[in-house]
Amino acid sequence: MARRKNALVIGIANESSISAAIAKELYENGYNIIPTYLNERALAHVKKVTDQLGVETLFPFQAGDEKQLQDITDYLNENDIKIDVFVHGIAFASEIKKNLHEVSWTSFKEAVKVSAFSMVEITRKLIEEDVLNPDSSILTISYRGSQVAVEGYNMMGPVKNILEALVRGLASELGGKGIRVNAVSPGPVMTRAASGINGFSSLIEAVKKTSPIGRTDRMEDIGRMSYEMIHNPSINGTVYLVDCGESVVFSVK
Amino acid sequence: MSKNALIIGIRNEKSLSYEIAKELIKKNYSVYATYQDESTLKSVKEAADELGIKAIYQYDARKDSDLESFTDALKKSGVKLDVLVHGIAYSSTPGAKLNQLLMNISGDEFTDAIRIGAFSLLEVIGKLYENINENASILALTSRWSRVAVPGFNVIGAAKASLESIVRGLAEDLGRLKQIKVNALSSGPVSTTALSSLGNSLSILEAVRTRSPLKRNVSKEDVASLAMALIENNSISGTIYQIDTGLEIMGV
Repeated sequence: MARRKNALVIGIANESSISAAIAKELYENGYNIIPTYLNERALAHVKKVTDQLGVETLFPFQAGDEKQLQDITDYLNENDIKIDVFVHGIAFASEIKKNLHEVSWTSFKEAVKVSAFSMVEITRKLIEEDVLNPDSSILTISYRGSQVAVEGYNMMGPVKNILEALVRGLASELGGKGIRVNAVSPGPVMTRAASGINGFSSLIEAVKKTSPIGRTDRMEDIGRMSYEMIHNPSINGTVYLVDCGESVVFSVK
Repeated sequence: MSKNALIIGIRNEKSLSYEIAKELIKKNYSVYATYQDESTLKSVKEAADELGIKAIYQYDARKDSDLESFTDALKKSGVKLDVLVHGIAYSSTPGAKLNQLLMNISGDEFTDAIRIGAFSLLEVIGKLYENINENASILALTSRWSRVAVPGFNVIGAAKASLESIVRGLAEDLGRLKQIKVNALSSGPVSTTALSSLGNSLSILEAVRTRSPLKRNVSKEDVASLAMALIENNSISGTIYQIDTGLEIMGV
């Protein structure tokens, strides 16, 4: 298959990452995948995913590292590659185990920069370097903890809410260039990032009980709806829940 | 084995339901549809023939007898449904009184609007429950007018608000009973007979185009594409997905 469209995917940690499911869907739909990895320790896990997606070149990237971002855009420019899709799937919160009222500003600021503002920084750089195609699509990954208080999700609630506000802001600003910005909001799935959250396995159990269809998300369903959001030209500025109906039910059990 | 879909809401080839039917047929679904009465039979039949719809049944959502006869006929034919699409509203009903102040709407007009636009979904499912397969998908078409006031059209807003609440209730009920997923799609305005019943559809479409970040209107093909993605996804239920080129996120 001739791969004429390019997707920059930032956020694959390992095979259980949501970004990996999205990258897989993009690959199956003919995209050339350009992934990043956090650091040398993560590389082997990321490669396990990307080796199956025909990827030869991976880039180290830690949010906020301007040099690393420059290397990515230099590579794109040198090879005359324009990005059609940017998937933003990174999040980090050093004090995730603390109660919200105990979190330090240092940790909160870092969490906002890595998990939310990085989407703006990377997008800006792609535009400045002229490597983002008109009519391209940006997708980030959120969680409903942005809207309701979820036990154990602590500081990531407000951080994800900032991310969702940035989705709307970027969508309104970049619409004139034909660029669309959206977020997919899956229910809890066991990823590397989620393993840092206190009581995550009991959250999964609670969701299974609450969901009318009695289970949690299938990864491929998250990937498929993400793909629909990415390629549908009329979807813009949205946050779509993919959560097996869990959020619409007020459980009294 | 081919899958079956029932679509309630094709008025003519301009309907959103028509576009969704087209998409379903492309994916090898056998599609069944309804028409309201003699006054719309011709346009629905033409659309149905063009698409290759298996059968059309008369169903005026205001009439108990129609509900009875159409669901009976479908049951007798032995069709088991995998998909149900609900796309009818008072605004697409011939003779509907629109463009009046909410306070001037009579009780009968109001209950007609609610029955056609919302309660009919419950009635049809109630009658066809045994003929709906496990893991089926139900999709309702709604609009943002459930949450914002549109002069002259607020009775539709009330019905859409009711419909959206019914979607959540059904997602809970039918999910537990039969693993059935129930969702709604909330589309920005598109050029349909229902929209033109407002009388100023062109200026509505123009206003949306100007305000939307993408400076264009929603396309029906895109709505149908999202409808298929929702129908065929097994991890989504109870949602109302907005598809409006970004109109909703814009403030003043």
